[in-house]
Amino acid sequence: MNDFEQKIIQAGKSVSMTERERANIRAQLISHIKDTHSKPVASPYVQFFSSALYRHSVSFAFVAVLFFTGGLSTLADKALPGALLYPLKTGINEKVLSWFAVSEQSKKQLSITLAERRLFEAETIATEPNIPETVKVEHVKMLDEQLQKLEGGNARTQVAETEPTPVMDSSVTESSLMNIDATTAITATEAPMLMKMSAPAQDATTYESAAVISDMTTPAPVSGEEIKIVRDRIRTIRANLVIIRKEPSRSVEALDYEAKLLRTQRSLLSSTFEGKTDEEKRTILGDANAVLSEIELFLDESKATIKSSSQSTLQNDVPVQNLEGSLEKLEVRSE
Amino acid sequence: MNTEKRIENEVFLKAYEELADALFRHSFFRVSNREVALDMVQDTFMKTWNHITKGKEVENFKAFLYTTMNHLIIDYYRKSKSGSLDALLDDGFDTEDASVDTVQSAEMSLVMKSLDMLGDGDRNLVVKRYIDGLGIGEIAESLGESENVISVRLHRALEKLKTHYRHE
Repeated sequence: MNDFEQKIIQAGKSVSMTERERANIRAQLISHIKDTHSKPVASPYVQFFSSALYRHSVSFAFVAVLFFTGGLSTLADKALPGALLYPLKTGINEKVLSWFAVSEQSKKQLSITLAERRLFEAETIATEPNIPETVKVEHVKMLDEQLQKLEGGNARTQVAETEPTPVMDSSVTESSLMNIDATTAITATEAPMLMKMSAPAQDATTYESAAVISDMTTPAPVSGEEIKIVRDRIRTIRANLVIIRKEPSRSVEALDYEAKLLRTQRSLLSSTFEGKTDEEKRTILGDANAVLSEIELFLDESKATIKSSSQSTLQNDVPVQNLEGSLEKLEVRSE
Repeated sequence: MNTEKRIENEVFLKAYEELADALFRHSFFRVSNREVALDMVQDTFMKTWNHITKGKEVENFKAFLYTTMNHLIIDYYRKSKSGSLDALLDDGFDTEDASVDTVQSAEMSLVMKSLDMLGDGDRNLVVKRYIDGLGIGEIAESLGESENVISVRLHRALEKLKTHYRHE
């Protein structure tokens, strides 16, 4: 280093802060520090949320909650009356479904679905001992309410009555006989009296024959077997109705018949059916079978119509094929 | 004030004690004005403190202080472009300054005046080299230039300085 450079260095060394200057600035700094401490501090969570690993923890948690509640909704769908999630099923899940039912047809369809649900629930809880009576009763009310909703706009509210049906099984035969009696306007009670009037000389035999007649027309106790047959019939019909409902020309009628079927099922609901007298049960069964026969007729007609129309329309292959496949199903009793 | 904050304060103030003088020195020879230089020191430390309290990390405390001060000095020059020499003559060297030897003060003022003749870039080099005591390598690194370039520039700056000094 030369002289000149040394001069500069020396100049440098000679310069420094005085003690006063130093203290002054220190004081200013301390004051500033105190000021900044009283100001709002950065959130202690800043580090958590700025770290790459946990940054998205909130969004993950949110998604997890969504998934969980999604699972809850699905579980709720299986809930039975009296269960914790049942209100979720009826109050929310089904309500959401109603939002999506826009057209008249889908509304109807939804009503039917809901009624089916109530029926299913009712049947399931009927034999369940753990569910209190009040819940069951309340639930049946819900079922009836739902069925009443189906009535609106439905022309065919009355169960078809007196038409004797071609289908023959033991229970139907009996009810058919009863129907024939009705149509000829001679009741079981009236017959003995008439006979009495026409042949007053043969009192004893009259009464005897009358008794025989009345025995024939007194309803026999309803067997479990009979009920089972009816329920099986219902199951088959329901499956077929669902298939037919997909055929556009038949869908409206199919929906109406579905509603009818539901009402029939309601009438056979164990909790209310079992408590009835034999005579009442007989009546109910008779009505049920009549309805079922009517629906079966509709199904046969539909089947025939679809088959014939599928043969004539050669252009639309794809839809026809679908129906052909479904028609196979109509033959089979399905669960 | 919780413990962490207290420790933070202590560390900071300790850094002030250790580094303030050197910073002042650097600042003084660049701006040629004591008052301004003192303000620079204060502002530098305050800005650094603000930076820390925002939660930002400071890798090299000393380097950060010098960088901050450099920015402040550059800003200062932008504001007072003209008449730095006049400013020197007016505010100039405080002969009341106890730390400065009266004998040397005349020589000192000469050096200062000469230094003032240089552009800030050259002056920076000279101050870094002879006031701060940095090596060529260190200067080169801090300015992002090669050692060779710095060496050449510094030599040229020194020559200029000599010329001014002799002509004063």
